[in-house]
Amino acid sequence: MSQPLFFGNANEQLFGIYHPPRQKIGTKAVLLCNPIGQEQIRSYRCLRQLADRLSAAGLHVFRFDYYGTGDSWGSMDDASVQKWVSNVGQAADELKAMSAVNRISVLGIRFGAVLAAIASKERCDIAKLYLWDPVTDGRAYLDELQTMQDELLRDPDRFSEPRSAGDIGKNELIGFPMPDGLSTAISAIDSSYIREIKAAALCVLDTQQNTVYGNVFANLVDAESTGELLHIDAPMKWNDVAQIEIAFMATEVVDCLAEKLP
Amino acid sequence: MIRERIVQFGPGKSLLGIATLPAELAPDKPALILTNSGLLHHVGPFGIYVTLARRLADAGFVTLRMDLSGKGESRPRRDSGSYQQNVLDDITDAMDHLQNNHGVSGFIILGVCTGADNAYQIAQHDDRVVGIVPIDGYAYRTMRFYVRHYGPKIFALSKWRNLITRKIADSTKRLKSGRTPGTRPTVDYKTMFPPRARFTIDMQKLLDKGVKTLIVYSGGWAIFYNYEAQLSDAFPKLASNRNLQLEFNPKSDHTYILRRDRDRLVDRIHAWANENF
Repeated sequence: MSQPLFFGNANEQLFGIYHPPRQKIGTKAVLLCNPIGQEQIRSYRCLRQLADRLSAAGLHVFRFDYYGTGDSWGSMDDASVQKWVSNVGQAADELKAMSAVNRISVLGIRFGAVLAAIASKERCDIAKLYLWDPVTDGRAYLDELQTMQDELLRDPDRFSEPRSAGDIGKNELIGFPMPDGLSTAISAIDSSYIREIKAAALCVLDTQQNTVYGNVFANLVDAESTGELLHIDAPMKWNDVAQIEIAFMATEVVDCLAEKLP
Repeated sequence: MIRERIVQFGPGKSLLGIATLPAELAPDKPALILTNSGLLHHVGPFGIYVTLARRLADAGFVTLRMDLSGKGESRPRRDSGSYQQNVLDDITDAMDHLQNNHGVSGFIILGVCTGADNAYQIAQHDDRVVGIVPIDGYAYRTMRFYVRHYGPKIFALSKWRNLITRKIADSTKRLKSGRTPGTRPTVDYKTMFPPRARFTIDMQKLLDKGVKTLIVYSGGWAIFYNYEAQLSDAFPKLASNRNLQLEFNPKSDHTYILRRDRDRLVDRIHAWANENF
């Protein structure tokens, strides 16, 4: 049975859900690092079901909300990439304490993949890092969200009359705050973070036919490495305005992870 | 300073919620319970339930954002009945928990879309409900609604041109993709409103026993509600009751994706709660 908890600093408590292994003592543990913003909301059910499936397969699983997101304390107005990377570390430590597993796997989705990867470089206990559609160009990622936002203002399925750019605050993106500091930090993200990944093994999952991944992950997923790049056909899109509020199940990705992780 | 606690309650502690507690508890104030909007978990659309919970707690209200059974982090009920009965039982369990643990005896129920329906329903069944905030819930069309809905379409040549153009484009798209185009609803659930006469009787009963009601409609609900006076046109006696207030946000969409719209809605609910309780 999953166990919700608050953890971390008492003044900035983070919310998480621990899924203990069912039926047997688990020797493997995996930390799930959400995407951010509306992508987090969309992926919620999928990740909960992934966690349930992995715990049924005998893994310890922990999913959590970064500072200022979900049920964790604070507001995204005060969030930072640095704080979120720190949160990944806190969650990893919490999972190790709960599970008594010393080397854990970490799954990061979209910008959560960036946070997981950056957090890994300060740690020696990441057995395998799974990056699902990782962001490799922060500026391009924000530009894509901005394009979607511009389009949704004119979406007749959403608004009875088109809204103008003046109706949007300066610091918001697809329904969530995007303060200047956070935007600047995300924009500064490029593929250089990939060179600093520290994990015994790496798996990159590509569901969007991303042609960049072959280059940016080249040394980490070639024949001589312990990494792999998997292309998975999944119908969900990250950049479709029509899907902004559609939860996805990504069954194909969940099946793949449920096979690889245990 | 407000603080938050995880609460698990109901049969086998299968239901989960996050309680936001004010710095000082005031038992005479009702607690606010926020129930799921569709299948979204307890944070609400774009996190509005988290914002509301903390804002109302700052004003002295205990709040609980919860997942109904089988949604979010809550497990299905072991004593499961019909969907509607489960909802009533879930909210009753939430009220019992807050009453037993925080001494509150009155409750405001707030919900968006299906959550709005739940607010209406639980208020009928439990006298502890002293306030409801249904957002984009039951709505009843009037003649003027139909004039406003169809009039511009009939008289606008551009609409006819667009209709013809879209029909041609849709046929082309359908041929290419195999999908039926134009099926991008923002509202992804079927609405079953009670018959108008039933709503009138039920609503009158609530207002007569003093249940404070803030009915909210957005522009995203324009297929059901498209002008400010529609409520008073449809139900003049109800609308004139001092326990009923209306908030109409025609520019907003159904889920208040724009922060400005969301902040305005939160401000309105905050002001209403402070005025009435």
